[in-house]
Parts: sequence; structure tokens; C-alpha cells
Amino acid sequence: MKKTALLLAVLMAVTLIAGCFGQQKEEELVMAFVPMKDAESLVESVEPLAELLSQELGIKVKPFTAVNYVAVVEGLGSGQVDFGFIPPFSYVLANSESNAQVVLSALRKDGSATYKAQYVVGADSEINSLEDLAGKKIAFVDPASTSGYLYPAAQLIGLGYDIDKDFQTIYAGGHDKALQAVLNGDVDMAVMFADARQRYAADFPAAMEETRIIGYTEPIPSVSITVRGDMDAEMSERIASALLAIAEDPEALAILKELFDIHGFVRATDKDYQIVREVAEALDVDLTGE
Amino acid sequence: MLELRQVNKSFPGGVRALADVSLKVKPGEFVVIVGESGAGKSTLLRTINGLVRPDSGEVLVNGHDIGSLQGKEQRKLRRGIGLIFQDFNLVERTTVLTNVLAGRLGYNPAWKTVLGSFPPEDVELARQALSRMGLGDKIFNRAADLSGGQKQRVSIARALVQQPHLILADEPVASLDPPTAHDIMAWFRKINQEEGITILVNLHDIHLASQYGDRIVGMRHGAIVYDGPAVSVNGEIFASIYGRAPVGDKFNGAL
Amino acid sequence: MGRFKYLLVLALLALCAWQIGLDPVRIWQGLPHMGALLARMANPQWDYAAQVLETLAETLSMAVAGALLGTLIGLPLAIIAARNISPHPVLCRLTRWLLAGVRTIPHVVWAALLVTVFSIGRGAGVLALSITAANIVAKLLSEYIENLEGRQLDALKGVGASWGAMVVYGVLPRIAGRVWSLLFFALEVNVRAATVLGLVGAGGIGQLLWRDLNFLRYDRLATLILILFLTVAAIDGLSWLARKLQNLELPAYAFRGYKNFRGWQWLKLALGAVVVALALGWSVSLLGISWDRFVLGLKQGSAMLGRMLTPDWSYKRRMLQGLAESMYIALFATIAGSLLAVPAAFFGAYNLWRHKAWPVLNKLAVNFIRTFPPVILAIMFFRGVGPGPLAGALALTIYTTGVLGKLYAEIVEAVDSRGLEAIESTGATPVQVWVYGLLPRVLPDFLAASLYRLESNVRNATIMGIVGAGGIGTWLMLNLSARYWERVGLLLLGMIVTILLVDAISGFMRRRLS
Repeated sequence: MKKTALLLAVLMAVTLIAGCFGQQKEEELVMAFVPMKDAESLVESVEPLAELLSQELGIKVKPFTAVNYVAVVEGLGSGQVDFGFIPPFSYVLANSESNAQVVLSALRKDGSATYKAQYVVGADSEINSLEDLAGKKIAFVDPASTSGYLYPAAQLIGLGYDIDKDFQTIYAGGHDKALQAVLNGDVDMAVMFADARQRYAADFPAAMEETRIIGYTEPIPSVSITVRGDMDAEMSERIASALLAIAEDPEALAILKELFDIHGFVRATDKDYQIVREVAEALDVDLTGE
Repeated sequence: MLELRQVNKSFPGGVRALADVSLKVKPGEFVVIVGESGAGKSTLLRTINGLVRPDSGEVLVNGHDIGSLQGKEQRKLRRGIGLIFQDFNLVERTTVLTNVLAGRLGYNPAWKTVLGSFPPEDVELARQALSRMGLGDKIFNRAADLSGGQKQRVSIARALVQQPHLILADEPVASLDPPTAHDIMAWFRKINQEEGITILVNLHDIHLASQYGDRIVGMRHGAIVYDGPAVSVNGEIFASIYGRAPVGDKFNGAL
Repeated sequence: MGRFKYLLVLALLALCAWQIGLDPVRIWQGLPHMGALLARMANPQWDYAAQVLETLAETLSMAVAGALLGTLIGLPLAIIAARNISPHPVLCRLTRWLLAGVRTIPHVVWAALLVTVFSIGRGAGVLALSITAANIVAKLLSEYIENLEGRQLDALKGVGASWGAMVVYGVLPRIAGRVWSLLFFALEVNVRAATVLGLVGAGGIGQLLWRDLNFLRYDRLATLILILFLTVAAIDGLSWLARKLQNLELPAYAFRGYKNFRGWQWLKLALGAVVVALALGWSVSLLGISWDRFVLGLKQGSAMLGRMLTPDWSYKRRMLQGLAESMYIALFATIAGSLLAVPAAFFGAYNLWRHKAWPVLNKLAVNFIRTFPPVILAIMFFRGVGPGPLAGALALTIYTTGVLGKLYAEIVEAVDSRGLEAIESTGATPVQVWVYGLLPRVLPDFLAASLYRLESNVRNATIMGIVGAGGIGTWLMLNLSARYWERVGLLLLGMIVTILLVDAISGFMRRRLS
């Protein structure tokens, strides 16, 4: 019996000690991001950016590398993530799940806050337009991808297709893999951001000659900077201003470009993403929240 | 025809299974090897057909040293030696006939037997062996459906179709009840007398041994401690084999 | 000494808890979120079930094809790898090494690699399932063959049978039943695995599941898991039925003579060949990979392999970090899961309870828990504690509790009941019987089971990162999608070495126990 008591005592001590370590949390902000699959080189660490942000904010910023956007959305909902770089569809989900709020939109290379997705077929394919796709084998990128699934799928539905019945659909798991699938002839058509072929020129040097583009989607709002729902207005404003400020700093801008292909920020509100919500609803995604 | 010259064998862990064993067996002899379990009887038999390779010494079967033979040569020598076990070692799931035909595996090319194909002479041989062992009506039964005594008769039939000059039987009756044990031993004697096949049987029971064997070889701790006619086994010899005096009066005098 | 050992284990638990950021307050605060999630899951979508069933057919065919191919490949490998029948000792050794090496790489990683080579969809999925199934069959079957009574093979060696004849007459008939049951075991493993394969684009029901997760449709997820649970149960039933059927044979009186008998043998042989050929043909056709495509894949695959074989050593800090985190997750889950499994086994063992309702309920719950693949559980924990190693560790702890709860209960049930009655007759309460009569007796077996679990938990912990639940998988996944093969090579190398090392240590400790 003594042994059991001892065991129990130690067990409780273990939990308490572990608890204390957890408690010693100084004020810090967790910044979540998913290394962009379409970035020129994969970068796993945003330490330098976090450093610059910390200086600007006066609060320690801790970067968190997520593998996918579900993790970031759930992180925002559970309060473990304070703000994150997430694509439009993930923002819409996070907003409906936990009232997360967009504060900024990222600017693209051309200075716009939108981008497009493209439809790619083999160079010698008989498919010439989006009207020729019935019964074909097509690849999307990932069900959570705004450019790789949501927008193109909604557009195809708008053209009268039934995604489940009219196509053989697969999810490639990455824009690169979608491109590879077309190149290898595994699918008749694949969607990806524009222009993924240039991004992956190193891996698929022949992509430009061996494929052609049969169409584009509507403009898609670009990556959002989203804060968790229960953050007070003052703090979210501080984060937004800090990011806007460091985007003026050439050193920080260089990192942003390199890490996320972000060339600046512009203030944004939920309204700017309403269009994404409409697209998602066209795909029967439940956005009613908890 | 069978000769062991100073054969030694130790197993990992330091157990000395055979200690300088020398033995000569003439064609047509019926030899019973007795001793406690662990005395080295099994190792002795397994050395004779090459399942156990001796550390030193020679095992000559028909003049060939079986320990030095490899592959095909070794298999050729083995097919002339029938082997019988305490627990029968039949494939229970298959038919009696298939089990007996397995005795012909050493005589037929592998690719044919793998498809289950045996020459008609072999099938006839198996059939005859089975009828001889009183199992003519069981040839298509599954081995699993037979009694212990019947199973041992199947394994004797398997040994017979090898057309062996020598049969080695390792505790063939230890799993059987006494009447069946006598029945099986009687079969061995019959085979020995009618076909002139040399037979070496391991038994732990010296009573049974002296009842059926012409010659008794007693083993203790891996060494041969007695080698002589069954009739001269007495209490003293019993003690040298088993390390204790016999219970009762059976071995107080000559048998 | 004994007490010291327990303290050491608990200290290890504390260290792991600290390293993975276990924080009771955080968990406490996350509970309402988890509760809300479970409430949402408690509302299965029946209209969605129809859609799931359609895809389930595809998943099942993938699982069946994977099990068939795996068994067909695993059977010869098992014979080569079994020490007592292997055609050549060097070949035997090489095969064992190959199997051990392949086994260290989780099926998800196989699928992820194959997807890059043979494209997305079920082809890569079936191949990945075949590889793991072949390994399971080869390992378990070769152990089974090695455990065959040595003399059973001696009987055939003694008649001078060749190696081939020995396999056909001595080994195959004796392992037939085992092969049959392994086929069903592989099928069950495959159905469970198919859910996770969807995460890396390998088709089937996992693809649906991944979409549901991405759309945060936990109600649909629950429907899917429920259907999966029922499917696994159905396979269990089928396997039981199949075991009954495999013993069907014509009775002896059906044969009029040898010709007749040979005819039947030929018929069986021909039927067997046709069935195997059909199974093989169907499985290969399901791969949906043409010969040209296969060659193309091999070409791309060898380029990939070439880059993986020149690992990027500058990345080793990240690798060691990831491996350490995976080890913390695995150790925490194994120790905590083992502790939790003790009461679970207490309530789950049939022989401890007069009223069987307790154990039946318990077993049902434990089986249900096991239906959730650990990575899916981890995503569910994201809601409570956020993404990261803590979610991974908690998910793996629950899964471990499920698996060990079942194993422990079976160990307790195997205890001789007479010993228990002796203690019960002294008027001891069930708890007293448990603590004084049973625990000391079953503890070595419990520990052995936990060590086994540690081995597979280390594998599970390495894949947690694929969904973002900590450990080396995070970096593996990121580099896989970035096609950074030199780093993938290094990470896999680290994983293989670690897993082999853990297996060796655990194997040594298990031998010491017995």
C-alpha cells in the first residue's frame, strides 16, 4: 500500500512540476505560418522576421511552423496561436469557427492584393477550354486550398459541372504535384496558382513547353493576416501597425518577399473576404460555426 | 555397413551429447539403444543420418562419411535411411497417401514432386506399404483423423517406401499406450526379420528393449556404457545405465 | 531497487511532460472546446453516409488488393527469412535486414514517397499498403515457421527431400491456416491505414476524411469513423467465417481410386493457380499504372532516390531536434498510456467480474477508441490544446490506452482462474484481488506489452508531424512537399537508425523480462 501511495505522490508532483513549467509563460505572441509550398525555397524558420516584429511591438513574438492550415485555424480557435498568415479560405473558416478577424491582406509582386489560379492541360491535349472537361480526370491541389480547389471548383460548378459525378477527381497534395500529374499524363487537367510552372522550373524545366493554360479563375483575395477572435482591439491594431511598419523597412521586406512572396500589406476587413465565403458556400461548405 | 568412430558432439551451453562414441552395426541387426532422456540417444540417431553434424569423429554409412557429404550426395544417402519419431511428424492436414509418398521425395526430381506428381510404381509402392501396415482402407483419410498407433504405422509405411537398408526410430512408442507400443515394436521386429533391414531403436524403457532387441546399447551422459546381447542385461548393468538400482526384482538376475 | 526503477520511469514521464509542454491549465481551459467538438461529433450525418459508402468501396478494394499483393509477396519472403528453412544463410540474413529496414518507414511515408513517383491516387496507395502488408506477413509468418517443431522438418530432411519438396510437403501445408488468417489481419490493418493515406494524396476514404478535416466538418468525420469501425468489425466476422471454411476438404470416401484422387489434386492446384492469378491480375489492374508509366515512375524515383542517398548533413540539427521531440512524444504516450491501461484492463477482464456487462462495455469502448487513427485524434486535440507536440502526445496516449487496455485485459484473462479463486475465497474484494493477486503476476507481461507498444509508438510519433502534431514528421512533411530530397534522405536515415535502436533496446529488455 505504501508503494502505491508513494507512486501516487510522485505522479501528482510530476503533474504539478510540469504545470509550473507551463505556467511560467511571459507575455508573448505566437505567430503561425505554413511554409508556402509555392515559395521559391522552403523556409522553415522565420526567426529574423519574428525578431524584427518583436522589436517593433515591444512584445516577444514566437514563430510557429505549421504543416497545414487546419493546424493554424484550430490554433487560432484554441487560443494557442495569436495571429497567423493564412490563405483566404482558411480565414473564412477561422472566422466562422472562432470569430478570428482579418487585419491585413498581403500584396503580390504586382502590387495587387489578389491572385489567380490557372487550368493547365498537356500541350497536345484535345481540351481547349473549360467546356471540354466532362468525363475527364482532373487534379485539384488540396481541399483546403483556395486557389487549388475552392475557386476553380466553384467556377466549374458555375459552368454546370457536378464535381463528384462529371470528373474523376484527385487531390494532388501540392501545386507541384498537380503540375507533375499533368506532365506525367496521370490526369487530363490540373489546377494550380498562376503561374506554378515558373515557380517549379527547376524541378520541371520542360513544363512551359509541354503544357498549356486553358483558363484562369476570378481574382482571389491574397493571403490574410488574421488574429484570434478573443484578442482585444488595441492589440490587434498594434500587430497590424507593426506589420505595416516593418514592411517599410527594406531589410524586413526582403525577408517577407523571400519567405512568403509578400511584397507589402494593405489593411483589410472581413468584407474583403466576403467573396470567398460566397464561393465556399457554393461548394456546400458549412460555415455556420460552433 | 554402419560404423561410428570416436564421435563427439557438444551443444551450445556445454552439454556433451556424444562422448567418444564408437559403434559398429552389422547388416540385419536389431539394436535397441537405451538410456535416460538426455543421455544422447537422439543425438546419436540424428548423427547417423546427418541431421546433426559431429564435432569430431566419423560416421560411416555404407562406407561414406555422411558428415562430410553435402547437398545431393547427402540426400542420396539419406533416402536409404528411414526415420521414425516419437510424435510421428506427419503433415496432419494432408492425406495418409501423401504422407507416405513423401518417403519417395528423395527418388524423384523436385519440380515433379512439387506438383504432386509421382510415378505409378511409387504410388503402387505406397499402396502396398499401407496395406501391409493394415491401413489399406485409410489411404485417402486425413492424417489428423487417425489414432496414435495408426499414425505411427503411417510413418513406418513412409520409411518402408524409402526402400531403406536402415531404419532409425527415435522413441517410437513413447507417446503410445502399452498394447499399441507392443504392436508397433512387433512391426519393427517383423520388418527386421522379413526384409533384413537393419533397425536402430531408441527406448527409455529397458523392459521393452530387452523384449524386442537382439543387442542392447546402453548410454549414459553421452557415452556408451554397455554394448551386448539383450539376455545378459542384469541389475549391475541397469545401474550403470540409469545411475540407480532397479526397482523390483526383475533385474536381480539374468533376464 | 524495484521502487527506484519506478521512480526512474516517473522521472522520465516528468521529463517528457515538460518537453512536450504539458500544461494542466492549458488542458483544463481546452476542455470546453473539446467538449463542444465532441458534441458536434455526436451528431453523425446519415445523408453523408451514402457518399462515404461509395468511397468505402474504393478503399476496400485498395485494402483487399494491398492485402493480396502483400501476402503473395510476403509468403516467399517469409520462407527465405525463416532461419530453419531458408535456402541460404546469407540470403536469409539479407532478407531479414531488408525487412527490418523497410519496417522502420511508416506506411504514410511510403505512400508519400510513392505518390511523388507513381502519382497521386489509389495506385500509390495500393503499393504502400502492399509494402507494409508484405512486411507484416513476412515477419509474423517467418516467426511462425521458426516456431514449427524442428523435427517436423527433419522427417522430410531424413527422406532426402530437396529444398523445394521440403517447402511444399513440410512447410506449406503446416502454415496454410496461418497464411489465411494473416491475409485477413493484413486486410484489417490496411483498412485502418487507408484513412491516413488520404492525407498524402493516396486516394480512397482518406481523401474524404482529409477534406472533412480541412472544412472542419467534424460531424462528417464522426460518420466516417463510425462506418470505418463497423467495417473493421465486419472484417473480423468475415475472418472468423473464413477460418471455418478453410478446413473444408472432401471426405475420404469421395475418392474411388488414385486417379480420382490425383484429379482432385489437380483441380485444387488449378483452382488455386487461377484464384492467385486472378487476385494478382485484379490487384495489379487496380494499381492503374501502365507499364510505360511504371518505367517513367522508376526513372523519376531513381533520380529522387539518388538525391536522397546524398543526405544534406548541414540539416542534422533539425533532424536531431525532431527526433528528440518524437521520442518525448512516444515515451510520454507509452508511460502514461500504460498507467491508464491498468484500470482499463481491470474493468475489461472477463474473469474478474461476475456480471459481464462491465467488461463488455469496456471492450466496446476500447475497440472504438482504437478505430481513431492517432493522427486524426491529434487533429481533434488541436481544438483543445492547439497544434504541436502536446496534441500529438495526448492523442497517442489515448490510442495507447486503447491498445494496451485490450492487451492487458487479455493477459489478465489468460491467468489461471484457480489462483484467483484461492484469493477470492479469503473474502478479498475485487480491488484487493487485483492488487495482491493479479498485478504482481501479470506485471512482467504488462511490461513486455508496453515495450512492444513503445516500438510502434516511436513509429507513430515520427508520423505525428505529418498533420502538424510535433516531432520529426513535421520536417519530413515540409521537405517532402518542397521536393528537398537530400533533407528527406537525412531525416529518413535518422528515423531508421532511431527506430532500429529503440527496437534493439526494447528487444533486449523484453528478453531480460522473460
